Amino acid sequence: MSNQDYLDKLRDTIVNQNINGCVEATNEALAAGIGAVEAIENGLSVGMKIVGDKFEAAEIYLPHIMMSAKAMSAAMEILSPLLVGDENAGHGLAITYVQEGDIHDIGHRLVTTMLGANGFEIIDLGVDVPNEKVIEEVIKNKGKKMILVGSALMTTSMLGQKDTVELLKEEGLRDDIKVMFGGAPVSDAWIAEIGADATAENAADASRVALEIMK
Amino acid sequence: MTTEYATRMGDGQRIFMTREQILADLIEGMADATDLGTIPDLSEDELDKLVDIIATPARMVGVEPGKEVPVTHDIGTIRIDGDQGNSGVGIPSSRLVGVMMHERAFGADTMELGHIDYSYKPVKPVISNEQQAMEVCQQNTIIPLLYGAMPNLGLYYTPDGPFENPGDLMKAFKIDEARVSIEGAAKHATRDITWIMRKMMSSGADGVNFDTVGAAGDGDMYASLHAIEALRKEFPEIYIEAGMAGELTLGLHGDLQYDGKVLAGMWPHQQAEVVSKAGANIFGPVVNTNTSRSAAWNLGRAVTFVKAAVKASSIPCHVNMGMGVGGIPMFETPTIDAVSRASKAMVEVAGVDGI
Repeated sequence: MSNQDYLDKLRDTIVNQNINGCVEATNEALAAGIGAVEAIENGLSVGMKIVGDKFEAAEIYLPHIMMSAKAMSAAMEILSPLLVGDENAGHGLAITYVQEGDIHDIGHRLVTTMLGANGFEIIDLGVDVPNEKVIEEVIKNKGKKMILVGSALMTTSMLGQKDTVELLKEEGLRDDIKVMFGGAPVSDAWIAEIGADATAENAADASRVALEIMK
Repeated sequence: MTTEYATRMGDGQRIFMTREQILADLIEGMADATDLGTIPDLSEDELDKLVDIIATPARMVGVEPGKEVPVTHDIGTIRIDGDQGNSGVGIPSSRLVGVMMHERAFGADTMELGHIDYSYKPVKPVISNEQQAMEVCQQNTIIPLLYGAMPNLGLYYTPDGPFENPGDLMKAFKIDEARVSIEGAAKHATRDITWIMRKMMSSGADGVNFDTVGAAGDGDMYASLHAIEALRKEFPEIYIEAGMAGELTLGLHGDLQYDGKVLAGMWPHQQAEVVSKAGANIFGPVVNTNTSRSAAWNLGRAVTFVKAAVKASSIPCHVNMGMGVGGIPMFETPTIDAVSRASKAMVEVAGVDGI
């Protein structure tokens, strides 16, 4: 088998939601001398991109995309330890959370999973998170390449996103971090109004947008 | 100065547009439908007809003589005494009075008896009360009177029902368990709907209305189709109406099939085929309204989807027309200018058999 065959196999296990097969293909690729970064970028991530496109085209659905993400996560459990110290590995740290006053977490969990599956280091602060706690976490990780990914399902909790950006500015942290918000009421106009960097339509789109703005 | 015509946004806001702007939005809405559903465009004549309907100076419009269609009402029995939250007008009366008013004063062609909870599952403990209400209504009316409610698979999941909530299971990545839960809930829903309708038929019901099929995703539709099939088998003469919850069947399970077809991702023209195959008499297509787009955009989109459904369906199509569906603005009491224009367009351009 050529290296491309191993990478294609990795891609296909993601597209076909083959969790056990993905673990097996990852071990095979490593045994064949393929590096962790290459396996992620040219195999697994290619598969996740196809899955994301199919989800957006309504060709596959929530359970399918979650199974693919689970396959990717299983592979990442094997590959992540190999990435330590590799400067080219990963896309940065993603701090994910649901805004204070809001406990709707399905979208948050999906986005967190998709970001992790796409090579981001994850700190998941959970739901109903006060802005002060978010800022504290950003300060703790100052110096790292970071993206803040906040979610709000309700218009009432969405308003807290504006305060998040204000607090980042007050603490002099705004230029150190990319800020991305999502949730049903979040629009491009809202993102522009509060001075955040981006939003996305769904979990698949969120990982694409995050990768784009972290380039 | 170019003439502007009064029309609406999808949220009911009054706006003014020129004929050219109306046509441009109709074409854009149509293109959205043809792209999503892989269905044919409307013809130029049909688009011109839609522009004429929207730009008619009259406040309300109606179909041309000879093109009248039957009008079916769903929860109309409680539209009189229900409050605003139930789309009612709050006049103290009863369900019987509601049925009789619709038959004798409002010109309804069929009616439905429905319980205030409006889902099948909660009818089980009050079945005797519902049977009695059906008998009394049947004794006082002539028009076909169906019994109707929502299949509402959501009521079968925790905390309301016996099956673990697939949403919670999926959050924990228990995908297989979530699917098993949906399948179990669907079996219970099919069993309950069939049992309830057996009772209602013994009390003189003329048929059944499945209202908002697919509201809880593909499992909801799966349960409904199997209930339709079972009822058709047990009551060959039963009149079965199946109206959808939305334009797209959501894939919460993703792999459920009926008649060898995957239910997730079905658009109205595909839904019509399986509903017909299951044994329904009437299919009720739904096209959702986008509140951020104009009535013209929404109408172009809705008529395109529904026309394709009418063409694909082997049974009559009675399109769902109301707040937030069928090109009508999403507004608690939609304005008569928007409702009458959308209804005329559905009859004269999409070719529906009823509303």
